[in-house]
Amino acid sequence: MYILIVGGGRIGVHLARALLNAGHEVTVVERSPAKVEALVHTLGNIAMLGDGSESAVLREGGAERADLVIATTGSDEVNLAVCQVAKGLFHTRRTLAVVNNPENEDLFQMLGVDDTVSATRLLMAEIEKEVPGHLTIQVMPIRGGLEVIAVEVPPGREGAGRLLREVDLPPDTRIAAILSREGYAKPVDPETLLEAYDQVVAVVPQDQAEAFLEAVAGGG
Amino acid sequence: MRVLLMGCSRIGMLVALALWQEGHQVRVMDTAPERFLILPPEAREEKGMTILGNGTREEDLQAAGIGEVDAFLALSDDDNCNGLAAQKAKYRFKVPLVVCLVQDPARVPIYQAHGIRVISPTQMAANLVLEALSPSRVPSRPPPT
Repeated sequence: MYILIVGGGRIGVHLARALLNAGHEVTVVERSPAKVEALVHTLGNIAMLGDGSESAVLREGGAERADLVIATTGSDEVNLAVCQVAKGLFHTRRTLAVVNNPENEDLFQMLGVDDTVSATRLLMAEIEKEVPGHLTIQVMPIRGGLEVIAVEVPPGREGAGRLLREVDLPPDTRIAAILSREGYAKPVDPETLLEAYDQVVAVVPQDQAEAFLEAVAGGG
Repeated sequence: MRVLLMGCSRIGMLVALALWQEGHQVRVMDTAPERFLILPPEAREEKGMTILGNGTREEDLQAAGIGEVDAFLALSDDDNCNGLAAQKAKYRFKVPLVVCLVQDPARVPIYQAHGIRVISPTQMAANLVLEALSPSRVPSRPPPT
């Protein structure tokens, strides 16, 4: 199959790798030159620089012959546009969109996107795969485009043994609580030591969920 | 008429101002407060005229009163935001008249198919330029002296 992926972030890269390994032909459209370079470096000459919601870019990327177009960017308006342009102008057989804001999922389906996947769900599955041991992540969407995320600090590697101030948190993230394995609350303080299986609870903007999970639990 | 307008772009500003001067109830919504500065002070300072919010988010649209308006105009500079907001206005909030601005003329039929009035300023500007260049209007250059 020929599969066109728009968005070379974490989700796009993992998908591309998996699909290439499964023997498919893949192109990733990404608008950041640095990410395109990184993609070419790790996966070979399969990346294309451009805004994938732009009809000319989709044409250039082969949307007309694509069996599947997957929109994986962090913004829902882009992902919807990619799928609608692919389907409407290039008659792509199937389209799949990552949905960052859960309120958009059924709207996307109604507007002709064939499949939708929740970004947070995808990330959780991905991180669970990567991080050894049992990792639990809970997510609750709240008002104002925010999510409450509870994630466990994985043992070893980069996860445990750091002070809170050493964790590279994305902007606008607020740590609400740090709970030890035994369930007592540690102080939310820059000098607090994160230990394996501590549960970090934070209020995070939806588009920063990926960066937050990576900062606390990612070994990527 | 009650109108909710997303995007205090240049086009958005012109439309908002004209409607406001005609006495319609206009609300302009934008994510960046500094963009309201292109509205003249007397309009900007009218109560309820400017609303800070993201027109692609249902909560913000509701807070801006989308449930009661007769028309929703997606006039930001971003085609993708306009497309999502316009389709939300149409299907989620059943706004009777929805107008969507797109820079990329290729997208016009996509949103039109959903009963949205789509306007491509780029196509219109290109047409005007071409019209100005029509042979009958281009004077011939005088011979060099």
